[in-house]
Amino acid sequence: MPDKFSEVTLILFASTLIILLLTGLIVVSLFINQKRKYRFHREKFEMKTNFDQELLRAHLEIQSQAFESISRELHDNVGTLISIAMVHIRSMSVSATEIEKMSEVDSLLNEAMDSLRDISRSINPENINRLGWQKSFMAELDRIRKTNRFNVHYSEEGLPFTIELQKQIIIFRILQETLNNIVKHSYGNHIYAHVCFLNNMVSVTIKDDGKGFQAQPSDLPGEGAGIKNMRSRAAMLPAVLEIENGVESGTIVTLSYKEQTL
Amino acid sequence: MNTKLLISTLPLLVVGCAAAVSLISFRYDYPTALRKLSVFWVFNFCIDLCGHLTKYFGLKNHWLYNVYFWLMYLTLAYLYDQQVKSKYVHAGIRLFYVVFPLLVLAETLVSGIGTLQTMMLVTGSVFMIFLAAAYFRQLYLSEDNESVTRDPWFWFSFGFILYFGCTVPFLGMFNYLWSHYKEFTNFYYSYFCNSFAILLNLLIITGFLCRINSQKSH
Repeated sequence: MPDKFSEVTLILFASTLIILLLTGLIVVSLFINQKRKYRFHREKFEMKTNFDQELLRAHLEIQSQAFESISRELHDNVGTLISIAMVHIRSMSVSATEIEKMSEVDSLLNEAMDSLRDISRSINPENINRLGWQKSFMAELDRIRKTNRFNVHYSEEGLPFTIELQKQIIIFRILQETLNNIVKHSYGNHIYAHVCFLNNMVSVTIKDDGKGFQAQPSDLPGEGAGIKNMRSRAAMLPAVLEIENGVESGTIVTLSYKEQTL
Repeated sequence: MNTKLLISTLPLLVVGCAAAVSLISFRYDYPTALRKLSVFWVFNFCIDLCGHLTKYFGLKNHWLYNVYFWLMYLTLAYLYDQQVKSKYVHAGIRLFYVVFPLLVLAETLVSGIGTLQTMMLVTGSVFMIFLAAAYFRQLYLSEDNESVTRDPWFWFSFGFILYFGCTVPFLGMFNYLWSHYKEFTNFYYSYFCNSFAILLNLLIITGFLCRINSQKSH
């Protein structure tokens, strides 16, 4: 009888222990598998982010080269042609009645030459490198002011700090796209630009008094390519880009970038 | 209160706690399956309370636990049917719905309702272990990125595997042990089976509480 009893207890305790161990093993393997799954998902996400960044960088590089070549072409080729045309016009002997027309043509060519020079400067990345993003932005505002379509108001506060050249180009392109959008779509009369430097952080706010912005989530296909580019560029810095409607009218675009300190 | 009574009452208190905690599924708008489990756990507490009262008054209560286990296995099979997505498991559950009542009927005719139906207990417990393991397999193969610790059914399955796995050898031999080694049966039931029952109910509580933060934020 005692032998049978010890057999029964052995069976009971051994089977319970085996089941406990098996359950533990199953749960531990489940946790290990989940940890592996997490790592895989993270790696996949990182790879996708890196790939997107590389793609964007390549895209920006190609765009930058294209801008540079267009800028050079405008300056060296079209600019030269206009200059030659101006020289020819000035050297022509015209009758007294045609003098007025000639001087008008001359002033139009002068204006075209100025605009051409401005465009050439604004799209040339080397120019941004030389002047810096802030002066290039001010030059861009100046160019818009000259069109007489907008009253441009500029203000700044704080002490400017140095930003890496590649990042300066990205910041400038975002601001340039914002101004282009205002000129093309806002139908407003005023542009207010405010630049604020504070504790290694620069915040640029551009406001207009136009018809406003139809806000849509960034991942919707309805959003324009320009704004998508602005958002991808901001993500590349990384910076925070906010686009919202103004209190009464117009749009407010704010770009905030914090320079990383070591 | 003597120690023996305390030891036998402790699982009842934990079942009561689990039943009370499970009621949060109604407060935080949990999925229907969790609410159904919550109702079942309240019923579980009531049965356990009846079991303890009948034992206290010296009445044999095996018939009560027979009925309770029939309902428990069928209810859990029904709830797992909604959780596990495998068509083979669904087919297995359909088969269980047919075979299990037949087995219960046969065992009731052979050994009566007053004796603990060990065949039914073993079959039901093994099938519950199979369902819990099937749910673990589903979690293992899932592409979902959410942590398993935030899945109530992970905790429930963990509890069911532990409880049914560790009690099935004892419950399977219960009638034999009860007739031959009454003292040992009492000892094993009081200390081991009750410990596993407490563990199961603690895991049930964890399962009901693991999603509470996300439910609150919704």
